[in-house]
Amino acid sequence: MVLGIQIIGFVFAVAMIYFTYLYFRRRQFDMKDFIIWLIVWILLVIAVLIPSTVNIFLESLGIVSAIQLFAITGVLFLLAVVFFLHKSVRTQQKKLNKIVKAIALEKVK
Amino acid sequence: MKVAAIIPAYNEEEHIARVIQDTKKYVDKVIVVDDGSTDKTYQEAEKVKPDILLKHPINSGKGLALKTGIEAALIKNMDIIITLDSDGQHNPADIPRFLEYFKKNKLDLLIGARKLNKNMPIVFKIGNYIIQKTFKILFGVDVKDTQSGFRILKTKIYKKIIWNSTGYSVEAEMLANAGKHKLKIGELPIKTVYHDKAKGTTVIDGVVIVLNMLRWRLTR
Repeated sequence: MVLGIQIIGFVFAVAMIYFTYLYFRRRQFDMKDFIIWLIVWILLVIAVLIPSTVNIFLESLGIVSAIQLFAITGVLFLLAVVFFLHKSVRTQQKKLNKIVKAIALEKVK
Repeated sequence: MKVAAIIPAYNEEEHIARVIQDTKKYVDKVIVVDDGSTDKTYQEAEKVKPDILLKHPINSGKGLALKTGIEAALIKNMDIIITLDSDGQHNPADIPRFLEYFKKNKLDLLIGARKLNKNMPIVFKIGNYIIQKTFKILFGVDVKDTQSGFRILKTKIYKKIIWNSTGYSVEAEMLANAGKHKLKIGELPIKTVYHDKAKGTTVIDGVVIVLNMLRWRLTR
């Protein structure tokens, strides 16, 4: 029997596959981004439609249910995403500051 | 010795012209950096013709505006830099007294310490006290006002005290770097006038400054 949460998870994953493809077509994602995110969403589809696939991890990790596994891996994944986004924003900010300063100083030289 | 005043400005259309005019009397060059203002700060500054008027295409913070100004002063071979705020809280008439003290005591950096008077909002007093004590504990530099924007420095120390902060942590970071390089730091009292209590450092800025101090202590 398909549970409501499975339907939500599946619809979410399919929508994200669509956006991943869209951004790739618009060249906002390069091939590396496209493949990484596609793998993430496909793994989510598999885990949502066939929850038994994650059972092999449950026992070895000492986790009681698949929902707990999703929650824990989800939080860890989000933390990693925030970390890398933070690093990326910092890098962009430094580049932007350099450009702003250079534009302002153009007429001094 | 050629002296330049650097005035970083963000949305200060009301005060900027007067600050520039008053400052012009005491220095060789006035350098104004409009930090992407959305009001008529640039136009108002232009009317009174500062020696150099620069504009950031987007608002990037006081720290970057100061860097832009100092680098312009370096290009123009200035020897001494004076920084002051564009909101009119500092009195440019203090400049000669400061320059004299700066030269006489052969200082690298001189800070205009704001007096704790009734004009100063209570939140500023408490914030300044916490920042001052934290600074002394972490960096061993005992100054009464780590946040004052009224400063005099030698251009040649710029590379030593260069900061990464773009916002209100810039003054503290500048001082922390000066302390680290054992530069000669002095302090003289100044009077300040607060025209707009809604502007300037907020409580959140104060917390960020203290957290940044801890980070600088741990990473440098």
